[in-house]
Formats: sequence, structure tokens, C-alpha cells
Amino acid sequence: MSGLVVRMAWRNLGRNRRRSAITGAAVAFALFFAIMIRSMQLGIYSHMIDTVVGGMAGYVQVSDSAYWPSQDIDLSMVADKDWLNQVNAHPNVESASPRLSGFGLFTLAQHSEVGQWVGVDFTAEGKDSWIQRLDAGSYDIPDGQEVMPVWLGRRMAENLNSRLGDTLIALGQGFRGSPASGRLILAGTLKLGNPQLESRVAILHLADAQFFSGAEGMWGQVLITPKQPEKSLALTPQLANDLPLANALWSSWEERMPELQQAIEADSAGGIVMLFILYMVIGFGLLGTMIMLASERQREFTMQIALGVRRKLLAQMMLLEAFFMSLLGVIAGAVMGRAVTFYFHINPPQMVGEAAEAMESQGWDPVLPPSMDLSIISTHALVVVILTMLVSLWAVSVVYRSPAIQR
Amino acid sequence: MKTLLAFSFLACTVLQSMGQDVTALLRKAEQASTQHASTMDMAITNVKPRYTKVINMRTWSIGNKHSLAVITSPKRDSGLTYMRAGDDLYMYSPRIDRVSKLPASMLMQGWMGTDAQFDNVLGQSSFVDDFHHDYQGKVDVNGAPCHLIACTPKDDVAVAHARVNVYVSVQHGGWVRMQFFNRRDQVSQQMDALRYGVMDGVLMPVEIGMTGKDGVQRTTMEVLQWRKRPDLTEAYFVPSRMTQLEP
Repeated sequence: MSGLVVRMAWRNLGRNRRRSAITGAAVAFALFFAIMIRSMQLGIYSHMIDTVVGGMAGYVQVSDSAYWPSQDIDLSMVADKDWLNQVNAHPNVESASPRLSGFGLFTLAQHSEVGQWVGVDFTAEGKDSWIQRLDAGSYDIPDGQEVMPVWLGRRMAENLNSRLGDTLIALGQGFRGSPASGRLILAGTLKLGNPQLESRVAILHLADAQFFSGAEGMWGQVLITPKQPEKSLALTPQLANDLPLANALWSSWEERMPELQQAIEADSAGGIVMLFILYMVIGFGLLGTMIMLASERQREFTMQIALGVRRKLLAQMMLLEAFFMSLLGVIAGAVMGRAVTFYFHINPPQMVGEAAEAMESQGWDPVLPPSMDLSIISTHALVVVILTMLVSLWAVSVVYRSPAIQR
Repeated sequence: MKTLLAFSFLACTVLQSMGQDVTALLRKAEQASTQHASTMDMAITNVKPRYTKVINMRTWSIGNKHSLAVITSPKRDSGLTYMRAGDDLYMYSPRIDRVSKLPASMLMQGWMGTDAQFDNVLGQSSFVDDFHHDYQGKVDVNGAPCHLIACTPKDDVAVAHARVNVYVSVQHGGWVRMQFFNRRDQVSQQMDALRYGVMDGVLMPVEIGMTGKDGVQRTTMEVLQWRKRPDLTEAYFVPSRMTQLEP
């Protein structure tokens, strides 16, 4: 391919600017909408996973082999600090921390709520992440108090009509048949990005939870956040192999919450169908401009062939023209798409009304933060370029079909 | 035809007379432990695949509608008090220093992780008054001949069992086995009187074994001491009493 072909192709774009602009704009809008649809979808999924899995359930969880699915406190595992230190030292592990949880009835005056109490080791989990979740109150509770501090999900605190400093009565099933009972002082309320959790979770210090339930020296489960959370599923068996623990069950969130994984996959498949329809529409639009282009330039082809220009050279020129147009469109579309997703990344759209309620009932905050993953842009830019090149084959075929003499 | 008529007449009379006998049999079996107001020390041993737990408790009771139970060991649970006064159920926890009223439906729920139900610890529904009885003949249980009486709850009685098979000893008239069936006709609980003994002049089961539906655990209730307490009255069973007991 000579420099002449490249130069001619480039100049041809300028010969009919309106036609080039229309083709480029079709490409740009295809890419822009593809980026918007996909960024929103993938962004919502990772928001769901972050709030539902990352916050409370853990990407990878280690528990007694019988613990799931009943989550019976009697099936807790014996605390093994040496092993936990090994887990924390593993190169693929970002952090690991033990939890102990159970169910109970929380009462304040005339109000009662059933909730899940969760014992958390704040120092092991990193206080920063918990400070971010604090809605009101604080984690600094002076020692030596008779009552245990508790941090309630903000909706649960509202339902109980409680204020900071109130003393709640908690009753529940404890370890090995002992009833769990205790007085808890409300030290704070939490926003967890998940309305279901916010209306039923009560966080305690791990040591307090162990005392409350009578499960001293026991852990319900150990939550592990890998350095690459998206690879949890593949990493789980590897970690289980590297860090053996007797009678332990290792599970990644995909295994524990298949319904979330399946919901994401089903929704994602729906999104891909939408994209396919979008590409079909845009593809036929491009084909239309391409047919127009080819038929408008039929005389030009004929004359060039009559003058002795080889058809192969002409075909190369057509392909290059299409490539240049798609490239310009891709650049414009990517810039627009990136700009808009970036805006929504800074100001995520908030859902209102019934849609918001539907999202809340499924367990996450009704905000739609788009994904900022650059691979979305590169994947769909490639798709659009290939689509344009395929469509330009029409023009190539016209080049080969054009007679040398126009009658 | 005449023979048939005569036979059915005979059958009716026999069944009718048996009906009265059955109620009397049950009344006698039931009265062994509930006719006297009493105090009792007992140990409940719960054997599960992962652990064995022994709970010691002291109870005060009148009949099967009023009883008070305070746990004396293990240390963590000591002082926990449960009380039944008529249809009301209460719990007192010294940790929160508060008496909580429990829903009556908890009577049929497992008590402190054992196979015993609240009902077993705090007085059972009366088979004589609350159930229809049907005599099923004699069977051998643990090598001893027993009357088998099938009991189905009367319509207005709130119990969780669909039916109960009671085996009453031919020899001493006390119950030997009770099988509780759920609505799917599976045995949801079985109680065996493993040993009879005389306490304060009264013959009663002093060791009772219980097994749950799945059979992976076993609970034994053993009477350590039993005394008549004719001075007890129903007025003893008030919520404020629960906070005053020493474990």
C-alpha cells in the first residue's frame, strides 16, 4: 500500500464533508451509546457487589464446613490467631478479619426489632472503612462501662425510635443452648449502602459479641478481601490450598450468593441484547450511507478504472477511507462517552419513586454510579471499527463490479 | 344377621366401657407427678455430636399450669428463670435484670438447645382434659407390657402435635413412653421413662430420655430430688418472684 493511497483516501474524506460527517457521527453515536449503556450497567453491578458483598459478607469467607447455610452459632469455628496471621501475610490477601454473628430481638421501651448482631474486630478490619460508614455517633467509647456499645443500621435505629446513648435490651439464641442476653448502649448509627442491612444490622465489638452469646474463643466466619476482589472465585481454592485449616469451608461470594451472580448475569445478557439491537440499527444506517457513497462515486470509479487504476488499489482506498471515518467517529464518541460517564461518576444519578423502592427492596442504595473501566471504551471502539469495515465491503464490491466503460 | 347384630352390640359396649377405662388409666399415669405441689432438683443432660451440656435446675410447681424453674448451673446460665403461670410464660435474665413475657407459642419450642420443650420443663398439656382418647391394645415397650392409647387434641386446644401415642405400664400404671407426631405424621419428639423411683413416697419417672425428630442428639432429664410442698399456692407464681430467687 503506497503513501499515495493513504493520501488519496484522506483527501477523499474532505471532498464531500457532509457525507463523511454523517458517517463519522453515526459511528460516534453508536460508540457513545454503547459506552453509556455498558458503563451504567457494569457500574451498577460493581456497586451492588461492593455494598452487598464487600461491606458485610466478604469476597471470600472461611467458616466451619457445616456453618452454611444455617449460619447457626453452634457451628462456629475455634479462633485460631496464628492461622489468621498467616492469612493476612499471604501475598494475594488485602485483609482478613474474624466475625461472629447471630440473630436477636432488640428492644427499646415499646419498640422491638428483630436483627442480626455482628461482632466485628474494628482494628483488624481497619477503622477507616468503618468511620466512612458512620452516620452518627462515634467509635470511641470509654472503657470500663458495664454495658456494651452497639452501632445500629440507621434504619433500624429509626424503627426503634432510639437516640444515641439509649440502652437497648437484646435477647437471642446464644452459643450451645445458652440464651444470649445483654444491655447495649447505642454508640452510633451506620449507613451501609444497603437498606436491608441498615434495617436489621447491629454491630458489636467482637469480644462483646463473644461475651453476649457465650461463644468466647469462637469465630463465626473469617472474611477475606483479596488484593483483586474480581478474581475471588478463582482465588478461593488457591487460598484454601495455601492456608489449610481443619474442617474449614472456603467460599467466594459467587458460591454463597448465586442469586446475586445470576441476577447480574441475566441483566447483563439483557444489556448485551440491547447493544446488539443498537449495533444492528447503526450498522444498517452506516450501510445506507455506504451504498449512497458508492453509487455517487460510480462514475469516478469507472473513469479511474478506464484510466488504468487497478481495482485492488481502489478497493484499498475505500477500506482506508472507511477506517479513517470510523477512527474519527471513535475518537469523538469516546471523548463524549468518557466526559459524560465522568460527570455521572462525580454526580451519580439518584433514582426516585417506584424504581428507587424496587432497588431498595433488592438490597442496595438507589444510586447509579457508572463504571470508569477503560476496557469498556476499547472493546466497543473495536466493535464499531470492525462494523464499519464490514459495511465498507459494499463499496469494495461496487469497485470490483464497476465496468471500465460507462454506457 | 342376628349374630352380626349381637356382635356389634357387644363390640359397642366393650368399646364404651374401655373409653372410661382409658381416661382413668391416663388420669392415673398423669397424676403421678402433678397431683402434689412440689419442688424438684433436676439435671438435664444434652448430648450433641459436637458437645455435651449438663444443666442443673430447681423447679417449683403446682399441677401442670403453674411452675417456676431456675437454672443453677452452668455458671454462665445460672440465675436464668422461667415461669409459667396459667397461660402466661415469663423469662428472667439476671444479666439484663428484667422479666420478659414470652409468647405462649414458645411452649412447643426447644428449650435451651435441648430436645426438651418449654412444655416439658414447665408443665405439659393435660392428656385427660385436652385430648380425645382411643385405646389401641397392649404392646411391649422395653420388654414390659403396656397399654397403647392414641390421643388426638380436642378442637379448641392449641397444641402443635397432630397426635400423641401414650404407652401406660400394665404393671404400675405409670407412663413408659410418649410419642408426639407432627402434622406429617412423623415422630417429632419421643419421651421414654427410663427409670421409675420413689421420691417422698410417690412413685414417679426419675429419668426421662428424649429424642428429637432427626435423632442426632439426645437429652436426658434426671430427677435428683423431689419433695411435696403443700404450702405452695398459685399466688407464689408471680413475675416479681423471679427476681428474688437465689440460683
